[in-house]
Amino acid sequence: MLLEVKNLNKKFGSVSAANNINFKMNENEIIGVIGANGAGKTTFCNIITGYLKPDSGVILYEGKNITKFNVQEIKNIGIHRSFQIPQVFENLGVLENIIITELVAKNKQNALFEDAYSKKNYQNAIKLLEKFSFDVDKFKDKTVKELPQGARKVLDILIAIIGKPKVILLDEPTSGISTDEKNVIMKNILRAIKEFNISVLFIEHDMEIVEKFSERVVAFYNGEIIADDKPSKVFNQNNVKKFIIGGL
Amino acid sequence: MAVKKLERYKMRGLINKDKLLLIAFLFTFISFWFLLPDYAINTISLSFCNGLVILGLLLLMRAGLISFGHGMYYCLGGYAVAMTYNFLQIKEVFVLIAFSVLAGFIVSFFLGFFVRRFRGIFFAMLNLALSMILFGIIVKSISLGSTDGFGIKELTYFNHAIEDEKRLNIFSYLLIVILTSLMMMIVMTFLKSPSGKILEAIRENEIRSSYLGISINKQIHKIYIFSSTLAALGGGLMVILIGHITPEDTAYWTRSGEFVFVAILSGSLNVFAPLIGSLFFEFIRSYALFYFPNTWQMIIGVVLILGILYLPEGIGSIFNKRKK
Amino acid sequence: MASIPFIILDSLVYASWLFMVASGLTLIYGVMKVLNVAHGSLYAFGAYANAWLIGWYFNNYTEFEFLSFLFIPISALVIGIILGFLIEKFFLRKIYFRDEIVVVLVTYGLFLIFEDAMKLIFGTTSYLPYQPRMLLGNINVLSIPYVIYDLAIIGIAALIWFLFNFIIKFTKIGKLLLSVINDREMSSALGINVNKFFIYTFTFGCLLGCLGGAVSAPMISVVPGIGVEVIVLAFAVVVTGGLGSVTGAAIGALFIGLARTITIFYAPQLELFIVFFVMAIILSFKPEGLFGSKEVRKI
Repeated sequence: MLLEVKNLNKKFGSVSAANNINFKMNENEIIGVIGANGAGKTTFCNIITGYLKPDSGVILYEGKNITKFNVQEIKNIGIHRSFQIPQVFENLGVLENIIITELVAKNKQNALFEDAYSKKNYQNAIKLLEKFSFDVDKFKDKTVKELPQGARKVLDILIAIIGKPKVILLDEPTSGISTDEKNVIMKNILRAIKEFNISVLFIEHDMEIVEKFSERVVAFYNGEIIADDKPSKVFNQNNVKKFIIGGL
Repeated sequence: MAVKKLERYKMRGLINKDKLLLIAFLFTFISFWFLLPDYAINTISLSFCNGLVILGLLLLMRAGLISFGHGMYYCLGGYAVAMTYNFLQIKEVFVLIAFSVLAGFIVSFFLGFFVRRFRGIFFAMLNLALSMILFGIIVKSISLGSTDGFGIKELTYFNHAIEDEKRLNIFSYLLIVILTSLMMMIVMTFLKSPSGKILEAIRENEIRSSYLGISINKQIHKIYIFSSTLAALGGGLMVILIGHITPEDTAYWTRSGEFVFVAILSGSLNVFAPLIGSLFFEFIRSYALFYFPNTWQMIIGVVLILGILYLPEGIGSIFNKRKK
Repeated sequence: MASIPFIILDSLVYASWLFMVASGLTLIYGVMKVLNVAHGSLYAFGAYANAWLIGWYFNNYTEFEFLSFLFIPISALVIGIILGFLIEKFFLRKIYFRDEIVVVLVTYGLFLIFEDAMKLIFGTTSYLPYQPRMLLGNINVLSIPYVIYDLAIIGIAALIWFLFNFIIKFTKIGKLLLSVINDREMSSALGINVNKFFIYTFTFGCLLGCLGGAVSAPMISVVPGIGVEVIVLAFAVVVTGGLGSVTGAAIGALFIGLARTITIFYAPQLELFIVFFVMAIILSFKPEGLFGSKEVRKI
């Protein structure tokens, strides 16, 4: 068992964002998470990554209790994430974003006697971007805020992949991206992720994408998990049809 | 835009250009000793002492922080020199300077545990509050000289005694110019290193930074110590140059206000800006205080506001995160 | 320990004074997210205006001494409304969308300008407008003589606190204001004129700052530099209570008031230190202040 969540609860005032959630994740699984807006998907991500503390419940990672870990500690044990709204360094260049991420991944955030933006680091960054089919030639001299939404999303995900985590949580990786691009982007990301043996949990609203790329689907409704099975089975479950697929 | 691009190109290839420039800077100012009249040399020296504080503020600005109370460390450094001289009878300049650096380091190390938890206006104002406390303590303590402060007299440079009247001499001038250049060199190297770049990441996006695994509070603590120690060194050198220190000229908010003013107008793009900015400021001030003694703060305020309102890309852009 | 009632009374008076000068600052921050450093100057302006008027009156007239109390509301209203309106309209309105720290820098610039402006207008000699305070005389509280004027400050502070709560809870304006505080953009989309709320709030906050100064003038010696002391103290109070919370400011003022009075009795040289010590202790446990809300960014 890679990741296990037991009896997780979280309330915001009177709204229950996580209601007795139990969840297990094995190595090399690709899990899609579905649910209407406000069903508790992002909250689930936020709790696992230590951004929010649960009211009660336990999170185990490789059998170790990580419920009280903070964001940095969670990252350091190998759980990374991407964001609904890309969290990137807006006023820095694309390459600089990658370089800084790599430096921290190599635990060099306190290094003093080397040049952070050296030629070598730039070349590495370019290589890395090419590997993930990022349109390097077009974007490498731009700052992040000049990028189109799709490229920012991809950059955000790339930053999460750097450092080779064991688990990666992708929060709506294709939101704000045009329908024709979605498939290409997902394919590229998942190919890269597979190469590193990373387990994936991705939140997604587009059922076609979920059906195509996930091996298992978890459905959230009102802070509860109402279905957890193979995609074909989950999509045929009555309450999922009624509350989620019909509700979209 | 253009400025940012220029900065990026500089960082990519022309690494040694800045260091050459710094060496040129050092020798230019050393040669000024033989070329310029005394009053000009005096102003240059003083502006370098203050420039060290602004260099410290530049470090904070890289991390997106500004302190309205950096005069506190300027004051601490100065008092460390004056008190060591008067209470311990130590006259050796290099020992005195070591004490000023140590004072800045120790105090900022402990206060850092408190201020590192705050950002933005909280950070700025808490530092103002801290400096006002120091001001209050000194003013009310007779043993610390109260509002009159301290004076120091004869100093020795490596046991070579210099009489009191010749406070500005080739030794003190060289000491200030060389130490300043050395600090610029250190800051320059630091800003290029991964350590320095992490600060920009923190400024740009704290959430992503912590998700990368950076412990943000520790990084801010580190930069706070670095920055405060520079300010303390500036204060120590100032006392060696002027031979006198009062709380009003150092820890009072007006002095910190001037530091912020020069720091904001100089920007945080390179390490020369704070020193050149300080140099201009000091020359203008020496005239302005003579011609407009009662409207000096007002002039600073007007220029600051005009700069922020009408040069938004230039000055305010250091903190260009939008609200919400 | 016969002095305990005295300490409590003194703390209450000082806390009321702190609340009076801090309430405008926290109100403005709560609604507009602007930390107005120039609040200290408004306090000083109010104090100077009142001191000047009182000095002028008692130099020229000897009758109807009680009329001098009118100068408190007059100076607060005139200075507060004029300056508040001008600052909002010509400076703050242009920079609301910028980072909070940029806005602070602008109000800091204004503060610098006002400091010198006051020296030019009122000179650098001190004013001692003690007459109104003397007029009210003393009263015996538990057989200790106490200045009535100082006790009245407790009343003024209570009135301000009551007014705030009444407006927020029981009036339509208060409800609209709450919606502006919670979500500026949504309120604007619903047809609330946010700009109008901002200018009214700011002007009212400035008026409170001036009122604080005007009321304090008879108790202090009005000299250059009182503005900075007040902004630093008021900042400590509002940060302790939670920036943006009026009730928080009241509670914060009580904490700080009590600690300071006790310190003055036993170790007077630590007066200023203790204020920030209390603040530091509270912030160490609750960085957002007593009544502040923790802002978790949506990600």
